[in-house]
Formats: sequence, structure tokens, C-alpha cells
Amino acid sequence: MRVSTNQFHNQGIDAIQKHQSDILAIQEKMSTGKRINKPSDDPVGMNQVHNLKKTISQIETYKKNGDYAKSQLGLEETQIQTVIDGVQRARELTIQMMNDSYNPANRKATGAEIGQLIEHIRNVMNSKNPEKELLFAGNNVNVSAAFVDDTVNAPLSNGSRYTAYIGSTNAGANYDQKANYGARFVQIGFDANNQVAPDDKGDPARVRTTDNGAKVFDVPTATSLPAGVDKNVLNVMIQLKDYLDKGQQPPPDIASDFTKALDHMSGVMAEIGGRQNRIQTQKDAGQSFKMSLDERRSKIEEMDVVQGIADFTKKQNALQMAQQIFSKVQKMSLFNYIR
Amino acid sequence: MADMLTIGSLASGAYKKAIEVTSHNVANVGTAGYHRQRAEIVSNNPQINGTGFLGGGAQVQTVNRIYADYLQNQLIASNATNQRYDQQFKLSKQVEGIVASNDQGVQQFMQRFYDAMQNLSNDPTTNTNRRLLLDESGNLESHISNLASILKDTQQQTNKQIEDTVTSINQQLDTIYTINKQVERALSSGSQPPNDLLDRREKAIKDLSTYIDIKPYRQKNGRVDIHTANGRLPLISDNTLTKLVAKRSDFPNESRTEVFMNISGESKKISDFIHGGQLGGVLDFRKNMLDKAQNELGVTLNGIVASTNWQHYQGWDLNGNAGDNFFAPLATNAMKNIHNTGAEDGTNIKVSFDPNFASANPQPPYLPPSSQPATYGAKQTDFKNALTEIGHFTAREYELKYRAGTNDFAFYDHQTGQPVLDNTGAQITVVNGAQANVEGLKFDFRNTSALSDGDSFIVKPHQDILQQFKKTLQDPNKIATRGQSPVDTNNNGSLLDEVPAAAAYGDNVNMANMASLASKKLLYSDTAGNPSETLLGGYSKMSVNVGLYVSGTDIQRQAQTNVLQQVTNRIESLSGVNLDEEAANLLKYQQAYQASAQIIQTAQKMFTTMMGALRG
Repeated sequence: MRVSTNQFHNQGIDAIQKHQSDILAIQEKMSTGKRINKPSDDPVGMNQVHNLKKTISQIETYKKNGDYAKSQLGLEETQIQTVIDGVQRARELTIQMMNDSYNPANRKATGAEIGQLIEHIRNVMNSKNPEKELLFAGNNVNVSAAFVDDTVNAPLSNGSRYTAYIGSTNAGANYDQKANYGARFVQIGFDANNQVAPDDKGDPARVRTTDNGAKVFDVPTATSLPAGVDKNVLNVMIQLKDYLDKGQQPPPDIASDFTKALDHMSGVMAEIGGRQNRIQTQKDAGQSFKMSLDERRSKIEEMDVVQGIADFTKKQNALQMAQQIFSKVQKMSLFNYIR
Repeated sequence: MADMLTIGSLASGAYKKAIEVTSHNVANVGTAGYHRQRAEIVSNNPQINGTGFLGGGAQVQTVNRIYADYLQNQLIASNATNQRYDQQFKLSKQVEGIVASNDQGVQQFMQRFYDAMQNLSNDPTTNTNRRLLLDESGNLESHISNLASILKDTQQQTNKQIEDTVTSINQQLDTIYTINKQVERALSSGSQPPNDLLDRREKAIKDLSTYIDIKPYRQKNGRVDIHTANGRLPLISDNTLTKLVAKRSDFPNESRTEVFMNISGESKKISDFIHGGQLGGVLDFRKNMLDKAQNELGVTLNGIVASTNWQHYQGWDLNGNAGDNFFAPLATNAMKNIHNTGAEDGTNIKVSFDPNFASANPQPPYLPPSSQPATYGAKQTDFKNALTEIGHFTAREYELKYRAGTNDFAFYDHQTGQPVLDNTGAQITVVNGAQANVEGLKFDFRNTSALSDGDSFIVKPHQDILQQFKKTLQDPNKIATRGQSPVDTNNNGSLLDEVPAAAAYGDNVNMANMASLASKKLLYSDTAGNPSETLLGGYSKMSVNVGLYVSGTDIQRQAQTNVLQQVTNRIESLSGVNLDEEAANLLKYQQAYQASAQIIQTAQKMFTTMMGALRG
């Protein structure tokens, strides 16, 4: 085939340019460390990367949510434990005072101690988290207290009043039915229907972080309290104090109610512990899932550096070769010989 | 009489010319579009005499241009295609980096927006979390508005580029037209071809093919006619020059430059017929990438705005008021065609997202005085319906044609010109004076001014949202985190019959549901009504389409570059100058010239010998 002088030139330049643009492409991928820098690098891969990144980021969010829920539940756990300790002390004192060897003066003195315990436990039951939200008021986190004075039932003989949870009609003006619900769910995993209902009963993907006081501190089967009064552990103590203030022996019902309360609260504690375990399990599962996702993402998205360097060297050699050939070919001319 | 002297002088003249042609070739080795020339040396007619035919020497019959029409036509065609893909590639890469880069793109801002919602749902009463969500929506808003302004700039840039290219095309057409005339004159005055003029014309035609796809038709009289659009539209024909015109489209408010041409006295839009050259590249880029990317991004944004707003309407804020607009809802109107004769200018044709306009319930935002629907169930039904309508969003621009006979508007896809069909395959129409949901959006024709038959309007709801995307909620306390109250007043086990009321202060149900919108499939429903994409998936879909366009263009570009190289090689091989060949020719002709001179000298010597003999 006939060859024109321009062809030598064109071919040389084309080759050099092709190698240079190849090197530029490798340079971009090597310097960002990514095989996919823009959709056109691999449109289908890009879509996968988007999906993987989205899932990974969701797992991260669920982990953060879980951490938050755990700290929230931890706080709740501590507070309930404090109440349990107080009730145990009250139960010991009850059993002591049931003993005939104590006289009314002793009982009144103990009544004063029970009075302190009552204030302490009432405080804990009305305690707030660092965000100033009531811990045991369901979702009514912003009211002043979860357990208020019972304004419906008559005061006791010592003048003190029973306590009522704000979800009970005994709370009078502070009564709010909504306080009996209250389930703040925090999402810790992928939810199948991505939906929470107002009265949600729970969902494997979400964990409840709030509890209402009635559920935690009620003693549903208490027998020591007069009818109509909220059956919560604080009222049992108030009742106890009333007996002691009068110098009377507390009836055995009180002691057994304390036992029931302790059982109930231990149950609540176990349930909270269960929730914490669930968070941990979800978190572990999420982390290992995330690792495998991340590995896939990196396989799709990231540059194989060894391969990249090998390619780069190859292209570099090719470019140098093309440049050398170009300069050699340019020197070939018959005119050089016919002088 | 062909004697030695004549032969010698003719030959030396011939080789002198041959050397001149060789020198001309050498001089033009670097001239673009030059075809090598060759002096055609032929032997003169022999004379008969007693001993046989005696040759009459040689002379240059003509100077030939080594050239092939078919190769030149291939070059023009492949150059136009190559330039088109090259242009498409450059432009699309530029947009790709903006709308769909892998890092720090829209998807990251969207993710952060939804993460902030998750965060707020964990702890809905904290002011910091509320502010964070507003900040993240602000970030999303400013990222989108940057994007929208860059896309708008790109739109204007393509307008400018179309105008500039059309100017260049017209200049080039002038040049060809002028050379055509010169060639015709040169040919009529002699039988020899005006080689270099022809080269210059070929060059001009090739340069024209850089801008637009053309077909040259070479006429007997030496003229070349130029047609574009696969030979359908004549640019130069019978020495009539038809120039292209770049001007605004028939919908002036669209700010879109189109290419027009005067065909039998009527200015006709020909943008859709141009498929090659830089002009073809710009037009294809605008239609299949820029518009499409904007519309698809718009569908995602409309999805975010509508779903976020509607979920927000479902909730109550810290003050116990119903949720207001979170983002500014879509509100746009149509643009008229300049050929419309009716009074309606399109501004009274309104398009918005209002899925339940036909419902008797009060519509959101459920703020006084319109207030809430009668029951929570009714409110939920309206909300579900809104999500269903979001699934109907389709990435397109609508053209509405008024038909006086039926007093209605027929819906067309503005890009393809095809009718917009409903589920049964019939074209969608809406009666003038009514309103209807079409592909998830409410088209409101209730307040139209006078219309004439055939009036047309366009509306681009999914492009407009790019400009309109804006967070309207400013007060962190107004974020509706609380859901419906869980109290079942009549204890029937269902909340659906309850009067809508707020849950307690610390409730997070509505915010949890808002955050869940990120994972919910909302967009692009199939015919059965099942959405196929999440909001982030809608964005991915757009970026995949962008990526496919760019990579497809790149493959075409590389293939076409190879084709062009091959054609160029064949032309070079046939018509290019080879300096070594010329050097050899130079030697050959020089030697022949020297030999011819020797013949003259010999003849002269013979003559003097004879003279000397006669002198005695």
C-alpha cells in the first residue's frame, strides 16, 4: 500500500495521544483511589454503589439510634434499681415493725424514715433525662411530674395524700389519658413496612425507649390499699407510713405487697435488659452485615492499586515507545541521501 | 515534423513542468485538504515513414489530481458523525460531573437530610435536633439550587452554542457557494480542471461537515449541491443558497434556541432532523441528556417535596398545631405558543400537587380555619392517596393542545410529540373549565381565558421544581414530630374512627414515619400501582441514565474516531504526498530533463558537424 508522509505523522501523533489519554484516565483513578468517579465509568456499578452506600449509611444510623436507645434504657434501668433498693429497705422495716418488740415510739421514728424514703422514691419516679424529659410519664415528657397528689381520694389520717399517676383519673387536673400509652420507638434495624402506627405494639425493627410510670411502678394485685386508690408502690409506702405514724403495727398485706412490687419491677428490669440485648444483637448483626456490604462496595468502587500501577507502567512504556518511534520515523527521508 | 530538436525541446519542457508539479506537491505536503497532483506525460503521435512509425517525443497532457469522490464522501460523513459524538461527549461529561458525581452529590445531601430526621425521631423534644433537621434541609436546598443554576447556565450555554454553530455553518455555506461559482467559470473557460480550487472547495465542504451532517451532490457542470438532514433539506441547490436561522422556539418563555429553515416561504423548525456535526451533537445532548436529567431529577425532588409535606401534614408540632408545609409545594403554570390566537397566555393553566382536590375533606395543611378531616381514617385515606399519586410522576414535559370541537385539552409529550396515554391506552384529555390529576399532578383549567382551536401550551413541572425547591419551615418548634393520639375513646380497638388529635408532647411517631420515607418505595409505579423506587433510588436512576448516555457516547465516539482514522488513512494513502516519492520523482524528472537537454545539444552538434562538412 502507498503511504503518504502525513500518515507517518498522523499515526505517530494518534498513538501518542491515545496513550496519553489512557494514562490520564489511570491517573484519575489512581489519585482518587476509585475505579468509579462518575456514573459513566460504570453506570451499573454506580447504581450498586449508591444502593450499598445507602444501606451502609442506614446501618450506621441504626447503630447510632441503638446507642442512643441503650443509654436511654440504661438510665431508666438505674432509676428503677434505685426504687427497688428503696422498696427493699421499706420491706425490711415493715417486717421489723411487724415484730411485737417495737413500741409505738419506735414505729413513729421508723415512720419518719419511711417518710424520707417516700420523698426519695417519688423524686426518682419523677426523674428526668438530660434532655429534661420525664422518664416515667409515657410521652407526656414535658409536664411537671409523672406522679402527682391524688386529689380525688380523701387524705390519710396523718394528713398526707395518696399519689396518682397522671394517666389515672385520681390525678384530677393533671389527668391526661395519653400518659397511659406513650411508646417512643427508636429504629434499630430495617423495617419491612417503614411505618409506625400511633398505638404501635412494637416491631422487630424498633425498640421502645419510654415507659409509662403505671406500667413500671404499679402493683396490680396489691391488697393493702383502699379501693379507688392507685395501686402503685409509692402508695403502699404512704399507707405504711400512715400505720407507723399512728404507732400501729403494719398489717402483713403491706409486706406482701412490697414483695409483689419487687417481683414486678424485677420483671420490668428483665424486660428492659431484653430490649438492650436486642439492640446489641441488632448492632452486631448490622456491623457484620455492614462489613460484607463494605467489602462489596470497595470491590465495585475502589481501584485495585496493584492492577492500576501495572496498567500505568504498561501504558507509560507504550507512550515512551511511541514517542521514540515518532522521532525516529521523522528522521527518515530520502532527501537526506540525495545531496 | 518531429525531429530530434523538437523532441528534445518538447521533452525538456515536459520534464520542467513535471518538476514544477513535483515541487508543488512538496510545497503542499502540510496543506490541509490538498490532494497530490501528477503531470500526465504522454507520447506524441508517431509519424509514419518508410521504415515504420517514428515517435514524436512526449508532452504533458494534463495535470491530474489524485482524488476519489467516494472516499471524500465517506470522509464528510464520518467527520460529521465523529464531531457529533465528540461534542456530545464533551458537553455530557461536563454535566455528568455536576449532577451525578460519585462523591458529595445530591444523594449524600439527601441521606444527611433523612439521617437528621432519624436523629430527631430519637429525641423529638430537643431543640438542637430540631435545628439540625432544618439546617440539613437548608443544605439540601442550597445544593439543589446550585445544581439548578448550573443546569440553567448549561441550558443557556447550549443556546449560545447553537447560535454560534449556525453562524459558522452559514459562513461556510457562503464560501462553498462562492467557490461553486468560480469552479463553474473556470470549467466553462477551459477543459483543464482547476485542481487547487477544487481542493479548497472539498476542504470547505469537509469543514462544513464539522458543524452539521451534510450530503454533497456533485453535478455535471462541476457544481456541488449540499443537502442536510439525510439529503432531505437543500442548503445549496441549483446555486440557490438557503441559510439556517437560530432563534427562540415557538414557546418564547421557554428560552430555548432552535434551528429553523425557510422551506417554501415558511420558517420551519428543523432541530429534530439534524443528527450530525457539532450542531447535531449539541441538540442530541440537550434533548437526551440535559432535559432528561433535569426531568428525572425533578421527579425525585417532586417526590421528596410531596411526600415530606404530606407526612408532615399528618403530624402535630410542639405547640399542638398541625404540620405546615415543610417545603414549598409545587406551583407552576403553562407557557403559550406564539402562534396561539386565543387570549390565554398559559398563566391561568395551573399545575400543582393536589391529589385529593375532589375529596370533600378539608385539604392540608390542616391549619385553621380549614382544620382537620372528620376522622383519622379519612385523613389516612387522603394521605395514602397522595403517596399513590406520587408514584404516578413521570419524567416528561407536557404539551397541551386545545380542541374547540370538544372544548378540551389533549395531552402530548413535548419531547417526542406523542400523545400521553392513560392505563387503557387512550389519550388523556381534560375538559376546559375542569381540573384533573394527570400522572400525579393536578392540571387546573378552571380559570382559562378565551381559547382558539389548536392553541398549544407547554408545562414543565419537573424542571420547574428544580428552581422552586425551597424549605419554607423556619421555626424549629413547628416541626411536626407528634403523630395521632393513641387514645381509643370508644374502645372499639380502632383509631380510624377517632377525631384527629395530637399525641402527647414527646411522641415521635410522625417524625419516625418521615424518616422512614427514605426507605419507602414511592416513585415510578407499575401499572398495578406498586412503586418501584425509593427517593434515593429515583436519584440513582437519573445518575445511571446520565452515566449510560456518557459511556454510550464515549463508545460511539471511539468507534467513529477509528472510522474517521481509517477513511483519512485511505485518502492519505491515495492522495497524500509522500516526500520520498517526490524525491525519487524529482531525481527521475531531473535526469530526464538533463537527458532532454543533451538531445538538444546533440542535435545542435549534429547540425554544426553537417555545416562544417558543407563548408569543406
